[in-house]
Amino acid sequence: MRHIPLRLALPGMILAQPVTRPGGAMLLGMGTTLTATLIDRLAALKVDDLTVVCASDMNEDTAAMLAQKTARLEHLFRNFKQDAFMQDIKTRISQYYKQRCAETEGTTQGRQ
Amino acid sequence: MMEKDLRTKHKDCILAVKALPTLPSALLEIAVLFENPDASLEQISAIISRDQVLCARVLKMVNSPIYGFPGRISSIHHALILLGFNVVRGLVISTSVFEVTNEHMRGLWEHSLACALASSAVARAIDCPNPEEYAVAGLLHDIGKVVTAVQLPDSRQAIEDLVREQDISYRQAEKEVLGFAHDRVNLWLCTCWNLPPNLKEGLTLHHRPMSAMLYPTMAQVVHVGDFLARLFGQGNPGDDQISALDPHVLNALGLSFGQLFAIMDHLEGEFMRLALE
Repeated sequence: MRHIPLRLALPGMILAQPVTRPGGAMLLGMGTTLTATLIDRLAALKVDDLTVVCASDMNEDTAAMLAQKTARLEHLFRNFKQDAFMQDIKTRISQYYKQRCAETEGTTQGRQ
Repeated sequence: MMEKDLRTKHKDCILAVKALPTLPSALLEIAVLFENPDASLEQISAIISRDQVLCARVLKMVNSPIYGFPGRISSIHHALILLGFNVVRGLVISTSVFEVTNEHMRGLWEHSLACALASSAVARAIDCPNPEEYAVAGLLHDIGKVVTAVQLPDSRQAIEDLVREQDISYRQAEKEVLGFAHDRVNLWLCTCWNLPPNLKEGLTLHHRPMSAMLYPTMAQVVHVGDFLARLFGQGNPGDDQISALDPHVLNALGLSFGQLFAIMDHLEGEFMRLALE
C-alpha cells in the first residue's frame, strides 16, 4: 500500500483505500482500477492524494495467485491474439482479477 | 458425393445410440408419455422410480447446488413438481449418457456440470424464468461429444490427436475429422429424443448464439456459460482454451461487464461448493 499525490497516479493502479470527499462521502471504492478519465475527474474534484496497492505490498500468496491467474488467462486466450474483441475481453478480465486481489488484500490488512 | 455418404454413415452410427444398453428403457417410455397430453406426473415419476440406479442418479443431481434446492428433494415426484418435466428428462439423459463413458470422459462431465452452474447463474442474473432449464441445457451442451466418442471411438482418438498436434479447438478438430462437429450431433440427438425446442436451440446453437431464432436467450446463456466454465478451468472440454465469445451476445442478454463480474464472484464460491460435494 502506498500513499501518493494524485499527480503520480497512473491508469491501471488499484485503490487500496476508498477516495472520499472532505465531508466523508465516498467517491471511489476500494479496489477500483484507476483510468485516465477517473484521474482527471479526481483532479477536477480537487482530490490531492490517494492510497494505491502495488505488487510489492501484496503478501506473497496474493501476488503469486494473481501471477498464476494472469498466466492462465494468457494461455487460454493464446489462439485469439489477432482478435481485437477477445483481447479486450482478456484485458477486462485481467483487471477484474487485479481488483479482486486488491480487495482480498484490503480485507486481510483490515483484519490485521 | 462420397463425402455425403460418409457423413450419412457417421450419422447413422451415432444415432444407433438409441440402442445403447445403458440408456434406460425409461427414457423411451417417458418420451412416449411426453407426447401424451393426458400423462400425469405420477405416471412419469413411477417410470423413473422403477429404475433404482437411475432414480438415485437423478436425485443426486437435483439435490446438487446447481438447482438451488441442495439436499431438499427426496422423491422424483417432488423433483418433477419443483423443476418440471423437461429438467428431469434432461437429467435422465445426461446421467445415462455419461454413465457409458469411462474415466477418460470424467473431465467432460465436470466441464458440463460447471457449464450448467454458470448457465443457471447467468439466467438468474438476467431474471430468466425457469433458470433450471438453462442449467439442463448447459449440462447437455456437449452431449454430442460424448455420444460421438462412444459410437465412433476411432474418431475420438483422431480428434484428440489433432487438438494436441495443431493446438486447435475440439470443435475445429471434429470438423476436420468428421466433417461436422458436436453441435450438429446435438441437433440429431435432440430430434431423436424429441427434446423441447428451447433445449434443442440451446444445444444446437451454443457456438452460434446469434443465429438462434426461436429461443435466442437459451443459446446465448449457454454460450456465456461455456465461456465461463472454460475461464474457471473447470473440467476438461476437450481442449485447453477459451471459447470465442460472440461480440453481440452480452448486449443481446442485456448483461453489463459489471454483472458478468458479479456472476464470476458468485461462481467462485459455487464451484468450491460443487467440488466439496
